[in-house]
Amino acid sequence: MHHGKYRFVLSLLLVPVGLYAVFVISPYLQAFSIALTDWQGMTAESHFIGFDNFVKLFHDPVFWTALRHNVFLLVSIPLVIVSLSLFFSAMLNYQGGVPGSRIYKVVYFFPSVLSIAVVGVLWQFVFEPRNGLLNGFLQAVGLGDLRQIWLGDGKTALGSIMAVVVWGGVGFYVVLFTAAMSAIPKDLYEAALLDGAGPWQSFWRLTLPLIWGSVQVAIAYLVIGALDMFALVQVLSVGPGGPDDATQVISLYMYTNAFTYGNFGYAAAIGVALFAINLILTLLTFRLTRRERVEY
Amino acid sequence: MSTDGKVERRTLLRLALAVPAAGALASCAKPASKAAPAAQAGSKVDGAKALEFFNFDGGYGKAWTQLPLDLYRQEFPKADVKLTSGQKLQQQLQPRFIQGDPPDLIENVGLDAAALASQKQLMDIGALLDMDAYDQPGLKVKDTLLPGVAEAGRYDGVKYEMPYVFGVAGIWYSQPLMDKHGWTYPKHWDEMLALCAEIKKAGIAPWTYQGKFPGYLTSPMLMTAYKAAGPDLKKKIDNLEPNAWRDPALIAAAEGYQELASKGYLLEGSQALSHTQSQTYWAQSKAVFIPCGGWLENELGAIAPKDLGMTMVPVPGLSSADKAPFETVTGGPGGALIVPAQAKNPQGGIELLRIITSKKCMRNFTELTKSLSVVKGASDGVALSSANKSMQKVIDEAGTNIFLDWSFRLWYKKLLDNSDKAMAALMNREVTPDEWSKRMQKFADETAKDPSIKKFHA
Repeated sequence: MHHGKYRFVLSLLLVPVGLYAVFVISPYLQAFSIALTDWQGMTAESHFIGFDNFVKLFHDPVFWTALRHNVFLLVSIPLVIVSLSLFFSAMLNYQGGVPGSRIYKVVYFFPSVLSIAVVGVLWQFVFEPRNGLLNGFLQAVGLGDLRQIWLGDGKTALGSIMAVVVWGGVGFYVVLFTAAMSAIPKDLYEAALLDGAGPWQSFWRLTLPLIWGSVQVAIAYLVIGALDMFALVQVLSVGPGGPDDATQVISLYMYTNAFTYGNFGYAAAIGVALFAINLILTLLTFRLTRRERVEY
Repeated sequence: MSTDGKVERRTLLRLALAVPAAGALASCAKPASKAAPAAQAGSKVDGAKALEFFNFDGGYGKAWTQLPLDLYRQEFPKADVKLTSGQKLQQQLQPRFIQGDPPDLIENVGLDAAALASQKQLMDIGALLDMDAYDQPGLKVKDTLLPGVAEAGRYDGVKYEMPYVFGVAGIWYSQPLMDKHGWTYPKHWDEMLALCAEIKKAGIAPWTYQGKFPGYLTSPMLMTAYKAAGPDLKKKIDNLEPNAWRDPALIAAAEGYQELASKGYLLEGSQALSHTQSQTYWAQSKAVFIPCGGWLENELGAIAPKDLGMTMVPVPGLSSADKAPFETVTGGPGGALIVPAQAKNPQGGIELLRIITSKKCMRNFTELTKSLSVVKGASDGVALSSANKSMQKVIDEAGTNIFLDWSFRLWYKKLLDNSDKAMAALMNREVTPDEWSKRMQKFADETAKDPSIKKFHA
């Protein structure tokens, strides 16, 4: 009975799709219309001002600074995290898994179970310039000259926050890649070995092509994540977003415009711009990372 | 839908019914415009109406609200009196303002009062000043207040905010620490730098500040410039006049404060310390001076050693050629209680305001929060701490040389935010004092030119 089946499926879908439409899709759509107004967010009153917010955005130096930081992050974070995770998982899988690899996997995964706010607060203590773990460690091992104000100095602030993202992100992708790697049949490696391939070659010629699907997904996720960064910057940075916009990112600038400057129309315009950038980059990522699918 | 391409009619119908309902829900984000009711302040309180007081549960906590709320309940036993609290007012109350359902009285920290006033969301509470004082027969409310309180909290002349604390902002040090080393607090910046050199030799950091929130250091720096240039500077800055930030006094003050960083007079890492971290180090005598408002003692709480001897003094001037006296301080009435124009029971809100500003309740406030209040004689007989005694002295010595704050900080949120950013750049030595002043001028010009920002005048 096809009829009954589809009715059943539809009725099950209706509630979640309805909720999604009301709480996710409709605010997204409303952002587009709010972006065309001068709404200040304290009354229901607003005026249509056309594309003025977007013109202003185009000439706003802080927006460009924030965008530059996001672009820097979305290039460097996937690069660093994917390389590190590939390295770690290749090591864990080397010759069928090093001793204790299961324990390492769990340890690497630890940061992923912490909420982002907890991670931020924890690292606040690490970066604390006087008694913090990092400066304390440098002092203890005789590298006192390398002590920095980390988050308080414009030269080190963004890099410090990026380090936290890497610390928190690597574990998840190690687990993802190790799972993908362990699914590769062992006889492929044996065949490669007989053909005279060393570990380096078998990684590049065999492992990487066979897990490319996972790597592609990882890059797409990390690119989207790098465009956000709101929570960590908000918790960790001076200002926040500082010192002097050194850690400013688009999502935080949107929040500041809405909730500090009371300029919701402009904030919505920033949101719309972010949406467009996000869309383009995601499509681009999949385009650029597309490869021949290898079947095995 | 079904495989044969036909959509079942009943399903479609149900969907059609669901869409408008979802639409109504979804449109909650931004409803249609509604006119604010034209309530008149000072008219009779309806004792049967519910009353809601929203308290900022921050530095002063909420214990002090108990007494005034109880007194309101006694006066109107039928009223359902409710206390709500929070620390994120913007996020908590903004939706309620948009829906037209704000609380009846708000202890405001975080909502942009200038924006609220310009969008006609606040009640003119001027009538309160002419009402009878709650517990001092024969006196009007305005007669019971300290000087400047009735004038404070006005936007374009209309009284929208009622202050309740009375405090000053300045520089704090520990008296026993200063005495131990035989140091005396300097009145001018060059002497300050000389003293800093001496303090550094003694192995203590001369200064620290709340680097994560650089505005804490902007206040004293602007004050040093004010003393050098005289009151005209403030007027020019607040009115966004061309080239106001290019004043030589401001550049000289910026130079002086940057030297704290360049000469190593700051506690190491100050630029990245939060307010609690830096204040804690200060209380542990790791640094001698810290800028802060009158709430420092309450905020430190048990962290401060009992024999710290917290003392507040005015910010040093620039040189002996200063145009304003050393005793000048910012401060006076502080805090803001506001009654929303769209409140359900604004009369009740104003009545609660009248109760809160009674001598009895303000005395209770001082006892609980260790902070001075806006009502004359309310702290008489309350044992004052060393911090409060020093503040009282600063207030007495200032006489009329006291002003509330730089108005641009209250009126133009974005300019204030930009001044924080510029201050961070100055203290990180990423800009020279001259570049700092150029940047501030650019920000001020942008504010002046932006038609979407409502302008006020000093």
